[in-house]
Amino acid sequence: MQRLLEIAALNVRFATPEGEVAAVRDVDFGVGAGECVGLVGESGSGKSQIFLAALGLLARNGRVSGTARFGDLDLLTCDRAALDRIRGARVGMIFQDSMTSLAPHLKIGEQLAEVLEVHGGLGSRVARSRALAILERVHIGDGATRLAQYPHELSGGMRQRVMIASALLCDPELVIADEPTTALDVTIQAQILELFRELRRESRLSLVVITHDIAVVAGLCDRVAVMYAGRIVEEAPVGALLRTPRHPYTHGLLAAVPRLDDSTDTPMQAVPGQPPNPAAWEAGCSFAERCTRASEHCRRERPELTADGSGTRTVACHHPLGETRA
Amino acid sequence: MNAVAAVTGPVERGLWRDAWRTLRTRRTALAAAFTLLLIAALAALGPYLSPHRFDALDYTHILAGPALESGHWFGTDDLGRDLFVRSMLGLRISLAIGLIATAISVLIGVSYGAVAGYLGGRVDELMMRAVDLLFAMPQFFFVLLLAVVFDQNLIVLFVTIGAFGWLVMARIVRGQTLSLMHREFIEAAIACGVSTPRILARHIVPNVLGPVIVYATLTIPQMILLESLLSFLGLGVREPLASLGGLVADGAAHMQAAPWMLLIPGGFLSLVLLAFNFVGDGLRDALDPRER
Amino acid sequence: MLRYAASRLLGIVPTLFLVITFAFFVVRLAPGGPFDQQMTLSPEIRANLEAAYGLDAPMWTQYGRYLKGLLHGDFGPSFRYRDFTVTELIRRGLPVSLTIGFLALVLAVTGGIAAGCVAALHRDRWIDPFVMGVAVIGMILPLLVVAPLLQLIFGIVLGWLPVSGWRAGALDDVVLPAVTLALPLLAYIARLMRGSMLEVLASNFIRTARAKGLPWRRVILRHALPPALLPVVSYLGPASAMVLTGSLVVESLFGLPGSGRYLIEGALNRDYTLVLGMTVVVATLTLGLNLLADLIYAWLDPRVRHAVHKQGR
Repeated sequence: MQRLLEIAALNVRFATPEGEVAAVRDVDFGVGAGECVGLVGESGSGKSQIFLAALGLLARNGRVSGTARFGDLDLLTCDRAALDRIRGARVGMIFQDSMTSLAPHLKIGEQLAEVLEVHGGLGSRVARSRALAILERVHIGDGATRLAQYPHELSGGMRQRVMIASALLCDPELVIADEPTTALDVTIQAQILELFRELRRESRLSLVVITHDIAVVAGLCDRVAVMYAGRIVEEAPVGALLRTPRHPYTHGLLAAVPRLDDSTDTPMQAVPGQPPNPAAWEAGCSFAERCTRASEHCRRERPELTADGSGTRTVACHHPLGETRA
Repeated sequence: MNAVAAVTGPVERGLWRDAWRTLRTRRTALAAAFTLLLIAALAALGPYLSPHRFDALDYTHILAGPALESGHWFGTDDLGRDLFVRSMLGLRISLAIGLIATAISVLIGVSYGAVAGYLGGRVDELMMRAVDLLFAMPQFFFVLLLAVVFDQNLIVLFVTIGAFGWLVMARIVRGQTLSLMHREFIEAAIACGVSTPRILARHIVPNVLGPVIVYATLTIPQMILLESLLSFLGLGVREPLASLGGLVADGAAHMQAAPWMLLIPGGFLSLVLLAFNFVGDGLRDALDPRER
Repeated sequence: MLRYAASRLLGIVPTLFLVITFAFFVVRLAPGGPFDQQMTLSPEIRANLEAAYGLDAPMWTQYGRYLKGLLHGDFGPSFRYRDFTVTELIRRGLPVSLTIGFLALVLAVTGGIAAGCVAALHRDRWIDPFVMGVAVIGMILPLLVVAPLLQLIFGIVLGWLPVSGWRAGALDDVVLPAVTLALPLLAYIARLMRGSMLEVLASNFIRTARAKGLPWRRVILRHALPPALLPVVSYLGPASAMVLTGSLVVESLFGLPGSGRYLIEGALNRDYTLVLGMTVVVATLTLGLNLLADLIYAWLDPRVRHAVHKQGR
């Protein structure tokens, strides 16, 4: 069955004074209808760029190649008008930094209403009542007051909810949430995640959650993909990934999270080393330097994403965990 | 795209090194700097090249055009004075005023700004309020007023022009000082009990040099322009001395009969202003990476 | 918004007061008196003249009288133009100056904003470096050189516009002076606008606006333009000062009977009250225009208005 969003062979490069930087390399990614997929990786691993590129929101010096099929349209080749019709209406995007992602000089009401006016041709009064309704749906109390306020008058958690509301206004088929909880403190994080769960229950929303915090995907997503240095290195259903990670990097990520029942003497387990310079290009596996299981083969030949026996998981590693060495 | 990831060893950084490297790539700035040097040389030596004096009246050549044979290479003005020598004189005076007034601005501005930034708090607020106040005043008109009142005395001219130019410098230095104050090495110096003047002199001032140099270079043309305006209106340097502004004024009055009277000093003035601005821009690119 | 405006208005009064005081004392304490320029006077005649003009009273009394006069709009008598008071002279010249100045500002602001936006939006094409290159030159070439040049080109060589003179209501006479005055300002504003627009276009909230599928036109006009205008609005204060200063040159060159001309003549003739009066007027105008610029800024950027509230002013 055709998936809602199908990204194939995506490459994103940036032209910088120091040379060309490849942020996303050969990425295949898909979301089915009603599915929630998590994308986990460190900052700089290219996770956000995938979707920015797909939606035509790259910075000026960015170049993208590959395909990004949404429904029947290839987002990368369709014309501007078609893309504008999709953005905001069928695909909603929630950005990370709500303070800078909202226009400082426009009231919240205006910023919400305009989406409805542009996509639905709604008059201002209808748009306003719809905006009120959506604010309620994301649990922002006193909606009427909020509509008349400016972004800087709201708290961080509230602004994030406004961003979520803004993405949901036109009942999109797909919502992409880029680090939706990063800038918030823990209690608010929990509330936002609960909100997402609620929204998923209420509608057939497809959701992509981009995050560097593996705990976020644990309670929310059906499937998780792990990114490292611009490539997807592992993909699996969430339960399987958390219980039996195959890629050493995934294992490292999970091990790095301190457990509540660890004693205070237990040393924190970090993954040693640094991610590679995105301007550089290596022949072998990008993770080889930091990997405890790396062999000479790893350094010479890049591992491709290969499916395992069950067909639900893929991993890009010559020596994945849980299998005997070949 | 396939940049080799080999590490070639740390390249020597450091502000002045980087600055010099960037400056070398800014060709407009280099060309402008070269032009300035040429002009300075001309201003210094020019008058010695011509037999004429700047105030000598030659009745046989009034409003004469530029000609090599007549000995008046740039022509003459309405009183028969040689334009070449007068242009050189104008250059000297304009450059002198620009440099001296800027020096005064820098002195006052840096001291004021450094003290304000260093002391911080209420004192800083007060000092900057004063600057805001002065900034809001119509500076040119005050200079005008003072020029009138003190009868175009040359020294007063230098001082008043410079006295109004320090405001921007003070703001910049204060901003830089404030951000420096939060750096650890300053906190360390204070904690070790280093005296205030010493901190200011040895730590703060050298670190604000970058922007100061940039803005000083950009202030020079402003000062020259200010004086030119005054001279143009007849309130600058007094006859028979003349700055480029005064020469342009004379030229404008005789534009139809003798366009070279306007074009030559005007050309020099424009060249000097453009050159200083380009050099300043280049320096800004080199020393202030944020400005890119 | 109103509260902000009121508080700023109040803030101007002390500044204005200081300016007037400073100017007054500078003029009075200067060496020499207003009658030194003319024929040598016998001491008695001089004493009489000074008494007639009230110059024999102690400085503070003179100051007090001057301030009182100001409140009534009386700037005192002109020392040179015996038949006129300074007030009358100012009233004659101000309309001319204000017309030219206002036109120049409008031209510069609209032209500059338009040019800057065009350059920013077409960054990869030839328009951008072209506009910016012209702007740099326009910015730096001094008014004193550009003005006579334009006179030469358009007035004498091409003969399209009158070189000088002022006939009430004549459009021709206004064009060249206003355009000349506007040019350096236009150039600077264009550069400012371009830089600001580029910065705003790269910001996150523009990305959000595009992600919402808003048409590009709306993104530019409603989302990008208002914040991008802020630096230009900030500059309006200094810009008006530039216009005021430049108008002196322009009036002189184009033979316009504006207040600037009176100021210069007054300066050359050591007519102290006239110069003093003009300085006061100019200071008031400058401060007023600065205030206007601040208010426009506050209107465009709601954060400024609210900051004032929070400080409980």
